[in-house]
Amino acid sequence: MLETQKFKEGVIVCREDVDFEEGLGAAVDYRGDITLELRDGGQIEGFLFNANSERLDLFPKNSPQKQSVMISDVNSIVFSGKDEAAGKSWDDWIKKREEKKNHREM
Amino acid sequence: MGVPISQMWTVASYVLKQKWKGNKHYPLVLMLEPLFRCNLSCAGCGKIQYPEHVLKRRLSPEECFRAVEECEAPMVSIPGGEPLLHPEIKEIVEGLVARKKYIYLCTNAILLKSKLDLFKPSKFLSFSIHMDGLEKEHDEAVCRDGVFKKAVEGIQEALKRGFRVTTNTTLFEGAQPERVRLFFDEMMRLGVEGMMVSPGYSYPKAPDQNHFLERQKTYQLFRKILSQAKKSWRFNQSPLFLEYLAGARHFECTPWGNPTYNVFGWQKPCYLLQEGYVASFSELINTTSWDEYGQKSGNPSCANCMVHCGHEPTAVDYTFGSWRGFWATVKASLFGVKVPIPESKVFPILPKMEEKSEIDEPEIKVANA
Repeated sequence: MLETQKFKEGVIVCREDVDFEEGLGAAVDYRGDITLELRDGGQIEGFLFNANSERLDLFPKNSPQKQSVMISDVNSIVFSGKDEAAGKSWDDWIKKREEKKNHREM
Repeated sequence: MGVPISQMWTVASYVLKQKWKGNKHYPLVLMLEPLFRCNLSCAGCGKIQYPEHVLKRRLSPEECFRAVEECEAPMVSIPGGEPLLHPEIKEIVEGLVARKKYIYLCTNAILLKSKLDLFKPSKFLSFSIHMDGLEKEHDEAVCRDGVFKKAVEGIQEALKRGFRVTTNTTLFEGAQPERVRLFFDEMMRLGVEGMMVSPGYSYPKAPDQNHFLERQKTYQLFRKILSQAKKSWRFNQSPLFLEYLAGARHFECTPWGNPTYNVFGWQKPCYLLQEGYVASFSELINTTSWDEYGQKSGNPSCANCMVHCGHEPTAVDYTFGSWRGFWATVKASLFGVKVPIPESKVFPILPKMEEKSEIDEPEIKVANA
């Protein structure tokens, strides 16, 4: 959980960074879109849902088809999209509900 | 017993056929997730937290049928997301009924009443209504007031029209045994065919990390719920699985029992862990290191997991794989599940990694073809 928080919206992890591999794992777990910046200067924005030792599988934001990218072609990963899991914990919900209740009672 | 005889017969003959063929890694229920979009946002569910363009994606009926034919499981569970939001759910259900698959269409029932006209009652189709308890507990679990009442309306209407209706309940930390027993009474009063119940699992993506149950707490909770179980309660699941939940017996996980297929592909085990996807069912079966899952494996993610998707297939395999299992199932079906008293401090001794559980060595040896 804490590791995922390290790679939150707005974070960029580059190939030469020591935590690139860790960032790759976090990108697969991330519940928002990421942007892959490729070595050839290209960019792909989408939802990364699968990875093996060589390849990443994602749903590009603007395409109905899955796309695969070789990890060796990736220069950096940007956690570009909103994390859809952020702020949606049980405790967050309880807190919101209590606030609503208090607001109604006032 | 809440499972119709025709369905039991289908499952029994399928399991025996797999054993006769010497096929150890056979699926029992395909979990077909045709979309992730849902009209609820429950605190215990990490399934729906995707960007909008992913939530818009869905499996076509043809993709669903291909998955079903590839997997060959006799039962298909259709969760999601909320499957009634799928614009082609009618075609998907009709296609599966035509293939004689027993379907559990898992729904929160918010839309059930308005969508019932899409379906025809069939012994192959059961609406499995998500109900996490009585009104207070359920509305709290689904994070929205009024859902319990809506679900009850849906159940009543579906029953009135002759549909099979079951319920599925996930119990989390803090569940009150007495309230759960009252909930069972209420579901029986409504007239549902049977209930399914399972402890929640703390999977890494679920936002509600603090309210899932650990193994010992699970035993204690289910002992309190199931000791002196009422004869009127009908469960749409293996009675041996219920005994397992109460710590009356131990089952290891059967991680290939409930494979999952969704817009991303075939999910590597377990669906609760989210370890990635493969392109085909055969790739899933043939390339997965199955020994790395389950309590006995030492995988820390599996240490406290007792959920139905991995352990109920083991119970079913035990029933049809040994005379002892078969007799235990008959006894529990006729005379009720046997669980230790709530005060009991006796818990099952869990097998160590190198030990073999009784499930691996069924008493009936069925000759290979």
